[in-house]
Amino acid sequence: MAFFDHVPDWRRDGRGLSGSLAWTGTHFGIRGLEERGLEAVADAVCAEDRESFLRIFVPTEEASRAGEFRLGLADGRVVFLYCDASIEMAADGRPARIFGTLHDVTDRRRFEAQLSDILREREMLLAVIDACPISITVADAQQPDTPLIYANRTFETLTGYTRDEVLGSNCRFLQGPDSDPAALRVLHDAVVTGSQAEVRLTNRRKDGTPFLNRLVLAPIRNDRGHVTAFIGLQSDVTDEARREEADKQRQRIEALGRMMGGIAHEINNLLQPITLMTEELIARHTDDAERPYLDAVLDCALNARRIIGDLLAFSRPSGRKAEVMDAATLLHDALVLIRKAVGPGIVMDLDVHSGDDRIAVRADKTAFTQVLLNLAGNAAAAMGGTGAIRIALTPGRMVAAGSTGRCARIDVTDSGCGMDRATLERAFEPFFTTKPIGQGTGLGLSVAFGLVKDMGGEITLDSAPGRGTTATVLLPEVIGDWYHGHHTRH
Amino acid sequence: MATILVIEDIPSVMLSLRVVLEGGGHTVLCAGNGDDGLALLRRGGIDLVITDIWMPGKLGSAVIAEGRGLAPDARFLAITGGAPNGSITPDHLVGAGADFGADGVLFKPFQRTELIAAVTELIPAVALQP
Repeated sequence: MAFFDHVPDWRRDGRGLSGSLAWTGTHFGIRGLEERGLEAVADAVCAEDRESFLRIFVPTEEASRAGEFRLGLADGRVVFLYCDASIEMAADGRPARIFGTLHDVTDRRRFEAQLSDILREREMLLAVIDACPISITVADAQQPDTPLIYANRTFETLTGYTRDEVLGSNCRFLQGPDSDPAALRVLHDAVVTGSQAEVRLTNRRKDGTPFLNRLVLAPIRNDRGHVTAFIGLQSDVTDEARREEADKQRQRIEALGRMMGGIAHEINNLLQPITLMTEELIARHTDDAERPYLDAVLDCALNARRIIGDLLAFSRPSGRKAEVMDAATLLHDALVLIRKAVGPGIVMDLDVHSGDDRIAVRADKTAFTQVLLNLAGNAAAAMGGTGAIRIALTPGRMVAAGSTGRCARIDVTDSGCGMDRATLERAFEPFFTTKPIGQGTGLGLSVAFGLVKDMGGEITLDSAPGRGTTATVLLPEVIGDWYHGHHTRH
Repeated sequence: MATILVIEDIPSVMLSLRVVLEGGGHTVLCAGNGDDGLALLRRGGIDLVITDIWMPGKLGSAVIAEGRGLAPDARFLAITGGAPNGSITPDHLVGAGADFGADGVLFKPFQRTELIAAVTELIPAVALQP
């Protein structure tokens, strides 16, 4: 600290720096203070702070002034000085005497700068965690029932709960009747033993909708190794799980298809001589009393051929004559045949999205009709032969090679008995059937699967017991100006 | 009637083809694989070649391709029951030509009338004169 008393000589210097300076205390490293007085101080002040330094001496009405400025010293050090000055005014309105104290506030300023850095960093980290696209929660392990003490914004969007609603509660409010007990046990064990765990479990949002939650639970330990809190990372993997399931099913069906193709080749070669030689014998024994025996053999061979043919439709690219046509036309043409086939108790409601927005698809008419016939047949059977089948055509989206991403989506919906999960998983498998023995080969959906795949499309089922079933066929849109030419020819 | 070469690796299939074709009055030559069949074709005098596609050794599509060079006047009928390991792919079919390069294709198991119709259609009218 220093005390100064300065009497400016205004005749010599308009800034008021010249004059007589009395200085007591530390010089703060300022050189030439004895010889040059306040001029030496002014020279040491950092260029950026010169104005705030000079303002202290400027003629104004105020009797006391305070200000802060930095000194840039010859040895490179920077010193923060705080000046508290009192002023005696002369009759001409200019300061006749300026006296006061100077304090070194360098340490204080340094500390404040550091503190604001720390605060800024902390704020930044909090903002990062809050904006993290993964849901993050923290639960306090030192309070009874491990309540949540933190939840970020993604947690709110994921679950539909606000922070205010959940902080202070144990996060079991996310559980629902469909939460897997095994997963819950794993979580419970992790909390008890203070270990890390990762589970997938079905949770419920605030509005009751379920989602598959991939939850990672990680303990936080203090210096002594005691678990003080648990971090929870939640992500919605509902879509991911559905895709995985669909992939798995497709792979299983494709493997089955390859197997069927191999079996078909063997059986076809066995059926060939049975068929030909039986027919040859029939031709040679037209009037023979034992001819019916031969007819029975031939009948069996032809039935076997039909079954193998269905199997091949499931497994073998057919090289059918696919043509590019409007999806609505394709559907209309197919329905003409299907209405006749489903029986009198079944009403077919057709809802064709029409207008300018036509969707061109590449399909074989016969194969497409077969697909729809199989789906409608199943729908009719699921409703016990009475009820309404709704067939809807809408634009959809699918990922397919060389496609626009747009597709024709055909939904065949019934209000029948529906299928449970286990049935749904196996529905496309050849020979899998829920119909009584003798009332179906179990090939209908397999054949539909193979035919749709052949057209570059996809077929999926959505069903639950008692809720009915929707079979969805997606056929990729074909790009090009085919339609215009095709259309004008008619 | 015509002289028909049948190339087929499965003896029972071969037998059934021979029974029907000989019953129709044709002369039937038999080969159990592609190379034997091509050797017979090289000798000449064959109106129609009926060949299996998936055989050990030379595939039927290759037999047809080579056979056309050896006997430009002969016609070719492919018979197939699908690939032995079910591995037939659209690329396969496109690569081989969807008809395997043949003048006609029958998928096993075909019926007697289908075989007779295909043969009648393919063999030259002159060969049909008794």
